Amino acid sequence: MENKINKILNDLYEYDKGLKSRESELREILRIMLESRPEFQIDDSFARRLKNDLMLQRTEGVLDIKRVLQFNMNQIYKWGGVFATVALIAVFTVNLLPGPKLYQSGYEVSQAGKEAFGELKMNNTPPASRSQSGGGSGEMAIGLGGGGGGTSVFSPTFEPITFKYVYQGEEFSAGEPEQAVYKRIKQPNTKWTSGLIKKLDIGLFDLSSFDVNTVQYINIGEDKEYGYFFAINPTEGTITINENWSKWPDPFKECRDQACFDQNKVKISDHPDDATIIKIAKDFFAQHGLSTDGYSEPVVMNEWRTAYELATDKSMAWVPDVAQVVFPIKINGFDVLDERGLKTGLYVGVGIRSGRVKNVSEISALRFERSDYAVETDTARLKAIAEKGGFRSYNFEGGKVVQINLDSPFRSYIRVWNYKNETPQELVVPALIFPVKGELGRQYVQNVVVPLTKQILDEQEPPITIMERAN
Amino acid sequence: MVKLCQEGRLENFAHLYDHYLPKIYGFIYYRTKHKETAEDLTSIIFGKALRQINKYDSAKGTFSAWLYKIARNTLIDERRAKRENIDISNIDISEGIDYEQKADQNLRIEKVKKFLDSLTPEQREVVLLRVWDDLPYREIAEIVGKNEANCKMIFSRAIAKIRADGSLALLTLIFLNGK
Repeated sequence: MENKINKILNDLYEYDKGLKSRESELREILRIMLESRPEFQIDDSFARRLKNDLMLQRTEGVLDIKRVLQFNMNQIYKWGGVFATVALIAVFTVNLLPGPKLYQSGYEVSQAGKEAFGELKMNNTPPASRSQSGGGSGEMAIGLGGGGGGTSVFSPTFEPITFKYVYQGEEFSAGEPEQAVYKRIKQPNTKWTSGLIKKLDIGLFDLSSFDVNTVQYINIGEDKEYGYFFAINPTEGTITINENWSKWPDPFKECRDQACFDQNKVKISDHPDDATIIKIAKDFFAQHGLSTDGYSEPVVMNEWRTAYELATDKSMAWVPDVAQVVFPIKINGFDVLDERGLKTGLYVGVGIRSGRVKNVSEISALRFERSDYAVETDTARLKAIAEKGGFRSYNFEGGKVVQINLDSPFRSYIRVWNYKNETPQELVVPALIFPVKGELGRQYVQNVVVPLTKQILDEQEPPITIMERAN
Repeated sequence: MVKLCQEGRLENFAHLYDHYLPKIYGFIYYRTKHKETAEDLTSIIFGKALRQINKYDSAKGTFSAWLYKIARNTLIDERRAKRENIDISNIDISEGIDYEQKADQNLRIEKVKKFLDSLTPEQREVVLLRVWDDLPYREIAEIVGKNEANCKMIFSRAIAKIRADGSLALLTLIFLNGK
């Protein structure tokens, strides 16, 4: 406060030096004025709700990445000779130019018509969570908690639990009756794949005698210490980088007894702070030219720590060998979440022992189409679904009942997969996220997620039709 | 950040919101002393700022002053709608204070209230923007539509008024007795 008063007085004296003689009086009046200033505390849920509403109000900005060459006709005549020379050189150098790119990097969202993606029925169970790092030595970091109920893998007591969800938040709104659904465009580059096939000489038979026109999966690697494998899926438009496990040290390789395993287990004190882990991930990206366009600032997934803190015998509690970093996909100003309400996007596994990146999964160019779909605006229905555990929830019956209290929801987006004709469509849909209140609840579940897109909700949670009583 | 928003990258408005929320909410709360009103008006202010972001011209002033102007105008509109005195610096600074616990301060606060009441609306507004909202004269000038030198003069004259009224002498006595 004194600094503030000094600043105000110094400004005053610059204007009227005569006031300096009254400094003690002025200092007191300013002090009283500052002390009498009303104190306030901004309600967190208000601040969060307003931010969500503002982000949903704004118009999506579509990046135009097309470059338009504009010729000045006068320039053509002036530079005609130069162009001709350049064209001639180009003819001779074309074979030296790199081939077409597999993916176009950068972030883009394009607008499609209403309900352009067809029916959104979650027909099949999605594949195993793509948030788990794959390959390598099998040491994975798995996030804890989420929207579903049922027995928690990380329940400290390992006994069956039945969750009872109780909403304790304020009145809320689902927002506009139609909201955008985003579909990721996989952009398989057929020129690239056909070009690759044409250059491939098997040597054992004539490949060109077949009509080979698609490449589904490519796995290439580095055969060196701390080398990597690169799994490229041109059809899905994704790439995964995994450690070449045979070229990375494995402390358990020579273990023959429990004592050896215990000795080589990673301890919680081995885990560096989040800033260090994130720096390792970012340095890897910078070194290898991996773009983070379209992603938000990364976070370390530390959900496993909740179970660790609650464990009575810490020596038996699980500590991951790999720290999981997620660079969340950014849509409409929001970090996209998974069905557990946790951030989702580009995943990076950082080895605790090696201090190196072990794997990067879900590398893809972020190209989306957006299309408007009807949203469920009946808040009573949305609350009822939340109190059942949310989207695609299941609850173990007959276990120890644990009450999970839910706070006021905030609006966000979640990533889901819709299967059409055996082909997965990756969608990002608007949703309400109900945070869990209290430490007791958060040891099991972090959030309860309820998607807002009506077709998705109706498929999973058909509304109850009240039959009219027959007279 | 503002430039990015004006280029269509409106997701950056979230950063502006995070930075200015406590300031704008404070501006409204100091003058209304009512949580629900402060929340409602803050929502309106940021909504207006988002919709009108392309109207902000950096050549004409700072973004902060532009936002405070929206806040000021929104508060005036709200008062007009309630048919209240549109002098937006007319506040009751003793409202909400626990008189039993802070009885020793009541007299001091009453005197400060008298001091503020003795000012012209223009003087009161500048004093509050400087002392409570902690804004520099440059921004105060943009908000109230005057030049910087004028605002310094207004503040100086407001402070000088204390002696002229003799209320400061009284205040000083109270402080000395209260210590």
